[in-house]
Amino acid sequence: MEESNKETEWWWIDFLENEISLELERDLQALLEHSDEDRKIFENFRLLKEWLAESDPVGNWPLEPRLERLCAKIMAVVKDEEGQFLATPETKSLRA
Amino acid sequence: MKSDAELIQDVARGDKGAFEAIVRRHQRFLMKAVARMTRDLDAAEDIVQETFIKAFKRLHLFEGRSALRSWLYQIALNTTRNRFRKHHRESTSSESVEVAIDSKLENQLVFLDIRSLLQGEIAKLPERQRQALSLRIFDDLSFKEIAEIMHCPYDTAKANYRHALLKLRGRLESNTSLKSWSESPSFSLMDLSLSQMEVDG
Repeated sequence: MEESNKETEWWWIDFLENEISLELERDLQALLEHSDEDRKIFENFRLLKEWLAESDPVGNWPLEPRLERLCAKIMAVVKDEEGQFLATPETKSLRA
Repeated sequence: MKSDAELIQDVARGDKGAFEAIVRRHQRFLMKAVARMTRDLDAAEDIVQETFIKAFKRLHLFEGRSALRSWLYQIALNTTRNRFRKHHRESTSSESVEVAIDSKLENQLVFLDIRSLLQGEIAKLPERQRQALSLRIFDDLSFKEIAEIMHCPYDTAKANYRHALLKLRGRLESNTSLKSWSESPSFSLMDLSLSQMEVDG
């Protein structure tokens, strides 16, 4: 019973994340329309995710002024670095 | 706009300007990710700087099997861990005092700030779950990218995320300060949301 509940909750999380098959999506849509209990479970996950997104500890930290400075500092060091790439022309192939 | 792989090839040909393009493309993501771990922007800035310099020196080792962002994140994570280990050795006692104060404050702020509560609960999650949750919610990464960063199968990344979400929901509902809510038969986070709006308003 507990396993079954857990599986159902995983489905709702996958539904929320758009990570679900079309077939299952149709079933869950039907549950949302007809079952108060399932609607509540889904809404709670949706709301939790919304709150989590708002609770990013660094979400409002002022990064912009730092980024320009950071890039300049990195490039100042890199300018004087040899780097293995530049020292040895034989590089591994990039499969990306 | 050039892809990461093209920029790396340009760097390999001696174009250091291409490395600047790589820095500009990924520095915001890394700063946020590291700042979440350090909770200190100065420390995060130092770590991200060190990360990119290490990456430049080791770029010939990057084989392109994962995304460049994932590779950079791994370097940043290791650099942060090394810093924490060093810091831990130097100041173990003061760190434990900080944690004690934080948890006491958290309890007092439950009704006033759900966000603080969630931040505290996220911090208590096992590392892999916290990592998956943070990368998904805060950095908006796909599970494929998360799996690359965490060096695990796609389904494991997703399972870590699901466990984290379920745990957080459970902790929110069973929090002592929220007992009156959770004991109500009609309890739901939606009720809490309404309450929070009243507090905010």
